[in-house]
Amino acid sequence: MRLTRTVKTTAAMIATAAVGASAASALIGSPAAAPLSQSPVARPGSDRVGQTAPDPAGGLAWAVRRYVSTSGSSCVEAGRISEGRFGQIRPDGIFGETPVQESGTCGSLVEEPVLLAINHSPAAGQRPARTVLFGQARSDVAALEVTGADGAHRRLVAGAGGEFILPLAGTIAPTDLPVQVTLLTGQQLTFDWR
Amino acid sequence: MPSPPDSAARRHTLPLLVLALVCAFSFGAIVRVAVAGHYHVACVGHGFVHGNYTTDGSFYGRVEEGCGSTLRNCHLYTYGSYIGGQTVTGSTAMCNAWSHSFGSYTECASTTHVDSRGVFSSHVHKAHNWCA
Repeated sequence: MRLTRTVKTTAAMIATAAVGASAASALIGSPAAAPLSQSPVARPGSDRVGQTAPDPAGGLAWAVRRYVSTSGSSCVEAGRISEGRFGQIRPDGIFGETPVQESGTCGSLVEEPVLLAINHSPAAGQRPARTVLFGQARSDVAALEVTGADGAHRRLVAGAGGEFILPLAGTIAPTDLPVQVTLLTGQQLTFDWR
Repeated sequence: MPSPPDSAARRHTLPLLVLALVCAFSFGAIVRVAVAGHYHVACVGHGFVHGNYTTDGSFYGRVEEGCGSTLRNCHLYTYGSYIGGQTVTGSTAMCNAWSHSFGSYTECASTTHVDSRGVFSSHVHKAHNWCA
């Protein structure tokens, strides 16, 4: 008799707990799937591997992959190039190809003359630390120049699609890499990462 | 006159069920809020984004453009150690740091630290299947 009641009470508690958890889930609702302002997902067939640059310490060259996203944004991604394949070097020193998907840094080259990003890659395993400045310039950009912390000016060479990349050894703060953009009109813009 | 044991047990059953209901509701609510917290909108959308699966090691730290911001950071950590990140400038670029740009890491033990100058300060978003 007592055993039957204990079983009934336990069953009732389990049922009550399930109802409570379900009620919380239903009442609080699903996390809002906030639509992205722009999609970073690549439009099939739009990707191109463009400008390359040597690594400061040798080894596989760096490259920019550009693509157009499904929302029409211009997207760029920094990586390494091995036998024509775009990918990344893992901390174990092995190159791995990465197919184009939604990993680009995307923006509007209609609203701005240049898309600018810096990847910070700390030293890990056999891979040394790198700071990689990369991006894409619109066709009305005449010149791009970076001023290093040492005061030296480096001209960025853009590829056919306006993409550019500058891999640097070590960890460098973005504020130490201001970028001067000169438009064909002669107008100059400075991006100082502030 | 003292109550028979059966009657006392029945008296205790109802409060126990109410307590179970409250505890279960709280648990469900906590889980729901934790899941909602990995990506949210504070003027601009930002946070931790899983790739195709929550266990494939492909994840992103993202900060969307907008709200007057001209500088955005998205950095990734696994087990509290920095694995890499990205800084973008300008008014239209989305910060999008991808885990596979830096290696292969345990997704459920990862976080992204994000900020958008003038919009929100640096804070942490965890993987929604947090396991660390």
